[in-house]
Amino acid sequence: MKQIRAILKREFASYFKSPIGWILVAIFFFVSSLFFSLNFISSYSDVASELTFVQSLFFVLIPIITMKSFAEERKSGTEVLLFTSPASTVEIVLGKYFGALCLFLLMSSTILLHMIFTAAFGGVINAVTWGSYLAFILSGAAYIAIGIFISSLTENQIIAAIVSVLIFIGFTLLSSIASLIGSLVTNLLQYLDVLKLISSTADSAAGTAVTNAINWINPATRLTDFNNGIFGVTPIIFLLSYIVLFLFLTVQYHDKRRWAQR
Amino acid sequence: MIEIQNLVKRYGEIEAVNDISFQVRNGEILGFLGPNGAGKSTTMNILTGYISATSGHVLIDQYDILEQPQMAKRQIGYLPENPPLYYDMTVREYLNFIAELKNVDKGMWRSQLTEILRLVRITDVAHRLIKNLSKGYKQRVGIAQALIGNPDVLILDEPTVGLDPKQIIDIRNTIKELGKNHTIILSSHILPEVSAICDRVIIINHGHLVAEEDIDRLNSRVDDVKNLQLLVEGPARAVVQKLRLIPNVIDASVTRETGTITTVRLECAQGKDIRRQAFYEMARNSWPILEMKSLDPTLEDIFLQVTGNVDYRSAKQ
Repeated sequence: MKQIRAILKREFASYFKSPIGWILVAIFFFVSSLFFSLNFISSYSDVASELTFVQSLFFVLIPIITMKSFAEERKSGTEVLLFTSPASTVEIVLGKYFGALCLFLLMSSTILLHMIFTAAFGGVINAVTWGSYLAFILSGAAYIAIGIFISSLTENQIIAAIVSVLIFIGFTLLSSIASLIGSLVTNLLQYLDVLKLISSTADSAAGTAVTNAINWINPATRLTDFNNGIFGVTPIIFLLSYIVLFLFLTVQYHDKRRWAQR
Repeated sequence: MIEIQNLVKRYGEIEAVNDISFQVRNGEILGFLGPNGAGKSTTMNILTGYISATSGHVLIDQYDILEQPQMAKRQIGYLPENPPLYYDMTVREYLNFIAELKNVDKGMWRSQLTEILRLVRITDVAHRLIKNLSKGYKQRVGIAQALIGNPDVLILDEPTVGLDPKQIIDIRNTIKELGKNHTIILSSHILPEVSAICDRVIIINHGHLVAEEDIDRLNSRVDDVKNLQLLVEGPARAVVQKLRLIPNVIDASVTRETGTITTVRLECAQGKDIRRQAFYEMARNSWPILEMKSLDPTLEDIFLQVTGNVDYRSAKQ
């Protein structure tokens, strides 16, 4: 536990020893506040829509947070220090993860400020708002886990950033083409089904199922229900599993690399 | 204390470490000698649990580095070839971080930090960013890092590489000082360094353990090797020819020729002193000797010595 805290502290502090931490916080603060104030001027305040907007910037913000995580340690040789210390691989990975997560939480606290404003000026802060906020934090946490995993695969920060950006764009793309793929499946089924053995309702049901399946595994769309005020435990568990999965992969990758035969 | 059994590390076809076994006794300073690329760093990375061996065992104080890594790693302080420093931290911040990482007791840390800063002499740079320190100071911070938590074993990979002569002497003295209450494994490709600090030497080459000797025996072997360098004013070919005729000269070769001055390297038979004969021979031909000095044996010479004339160069292949 102590080791996790030590690594977390160093990781978090290191963001603010270079301009990166300050710039990230500033950009986040500026962009979200701009969106908020523009709405505020037209006496319309909707934190949920603000969150959706900011979330669409994840694909570039999160890779900047995570790119250096393991890549920089490997490049500068400080990785040796961590892996020859009494800390276990799990503790090292968790320390690194929570360090990045703390920066993200700090950035996200801007939104809390906006909520206070909204409430102070008689706006509505209800369960939907809190739900969206939770969804926002959770998907950010999942993206960070993915970013950290990517960062551990390379010693080049830029490559880590680019690969993460591509994957996150992939998620967004996937959410917009999910229904297209679904209808493609429907059409394909109807086309192949020359003998009309399958009813057309079944065909379209299959298409919808494919769309839903794609959206189901896609962390970018998994929590849209939350924004509509529909809460469930499943999406939360789902995103937590995403985090656990990618942190597990990171641990496995590091342990496996020690056994490398080339 | 430390036991290495049949260590093998294979990278594809290449065997970086090939069946190395040795022991290190409590309180001993062991020199780990070998040319660049001999497998020193690989072995040290395995000893410290950074990478794992293809086969074989490493026991640190009875703890297997793979089976009980936490316990084994607690016994070790490691300075890798490139000191693992966070350049964005000050020396003090950095050492505090390592202390937390190694789970050093908070109450004891205060006095330990002062002690370590004093021992490696970095007290007056403690508040400075590591980024701005000179190479010598960075190396010392690296050693300081290895000392945290007062581990019984110190593993130092080429601790003096890239330092200037004064810094080298400083670091050597520090290591000797540490040797009083630590078991130390120190790697180097410089022979005098090892003979100055260590109690015992292990020589490896191309992943093989070539020799294992007490430092006194190694030194006496080193003393046996008496190679000479002569600066003679005379025609190169004739000079070499005459020198070769002297008994006990194994070989003479021209290393440099500037105008009428010839630099000759003489390889002499073990334990034979040929300086007088060389002098009279040259005098007889009226070729004045401008300079004569015995050469420090190179690592290559020692290889020839300890491996019993197995050609070092052919062993390379």
